[in-house]
Amino acid sequence: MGWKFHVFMRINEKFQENFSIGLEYVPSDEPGNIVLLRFNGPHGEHVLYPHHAHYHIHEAKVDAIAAGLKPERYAVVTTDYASYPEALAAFLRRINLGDADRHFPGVFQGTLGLKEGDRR
Amino acid sequence: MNFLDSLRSQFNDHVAFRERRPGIQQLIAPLFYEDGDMVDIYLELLGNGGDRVRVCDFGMTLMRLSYSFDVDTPNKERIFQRILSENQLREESGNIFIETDMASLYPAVLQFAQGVAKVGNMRLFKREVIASLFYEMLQEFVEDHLGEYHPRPNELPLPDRDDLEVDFLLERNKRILYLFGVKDPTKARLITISCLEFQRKRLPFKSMVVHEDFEALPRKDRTRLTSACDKQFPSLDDFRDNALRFLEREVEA
Repeated sequence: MGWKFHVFMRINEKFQENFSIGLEYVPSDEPGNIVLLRFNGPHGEHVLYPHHAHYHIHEAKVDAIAAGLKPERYAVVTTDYASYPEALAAFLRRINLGDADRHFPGVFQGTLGLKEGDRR
Repeated sequence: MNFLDSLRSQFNDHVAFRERRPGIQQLIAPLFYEDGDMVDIYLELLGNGGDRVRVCDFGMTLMRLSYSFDVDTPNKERIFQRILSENQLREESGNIFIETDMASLYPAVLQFAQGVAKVGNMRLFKREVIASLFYEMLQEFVEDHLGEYHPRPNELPLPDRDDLEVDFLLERNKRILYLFGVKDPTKARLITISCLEFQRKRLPFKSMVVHEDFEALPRKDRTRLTSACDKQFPSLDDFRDNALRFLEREVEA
């Protein structure tokens, strides 16, 4: 269909827990990109989750776009990952990147595949 | 009272601190970016027993900015350095900081937060944002600097052709010039058609085209427009630098 996306990956040199992996949609008919998804480390608080720093995922919402806010203002706390490598694996699964293992060799290794309820 | 307690007190207890690494405190304050994430502010005690503190971001501001905007040209670097300078901030290897004594920590933190917010807003200088201001900037220059040519906006040289419009008609010494601004292929093609029709109707004029970015136009559009019009300025900066001299030669000839 010709839709175009852009992925960015950043990790802070000083604080390895400060990372960001994001997916942007690049419209063909108007300027600017829209961040659809952004996996973040526990770099600090979020306006929706004060008092604690959590691993969290920003998601674009129609309501935010309609209100003229940053599309990805909404964020949800996640326990799907606890490090950059785990976040990258979770992100690639979430966006369903084809041949992910070929582009990122070994990215899915080392994840225990624990689900909620497996933890003791 | 240590400096953290003093700072907390100055913020009326609306802040907290988290030790991220030995000697490095993250300031937890109700300062948020547009996406809801908290502004990254760290405090680092300097020296041995001194009272100097470094307020910094350990590169987080530029890291966030880089999701959608890179400071990768001399012009962008110049703007970045100007923002830092005007807000009395410094930068080393991407770490933006300000150093202060403990007594001045509260205003320094506020100054720092304001400065990094401005750096974060450099994404608003992205090409598509600047391009959308092209016609406004062209109009501003014409109104401010070409008054002696009595500019008339949105002129229709052929009354029965309201589809062929000139952005600005300039006139002096009975010489008439049609000025057009171009920032996309559609406008380029319209100007080509307009100029050819004006010529076919034997209207007395010279045409001038100001490009937002000449190189960005497709080759065929550049070729057609070059054949149809009399003078082109490849950028708004070039127009600003050379328009007056060109117009003077044109009306004196």
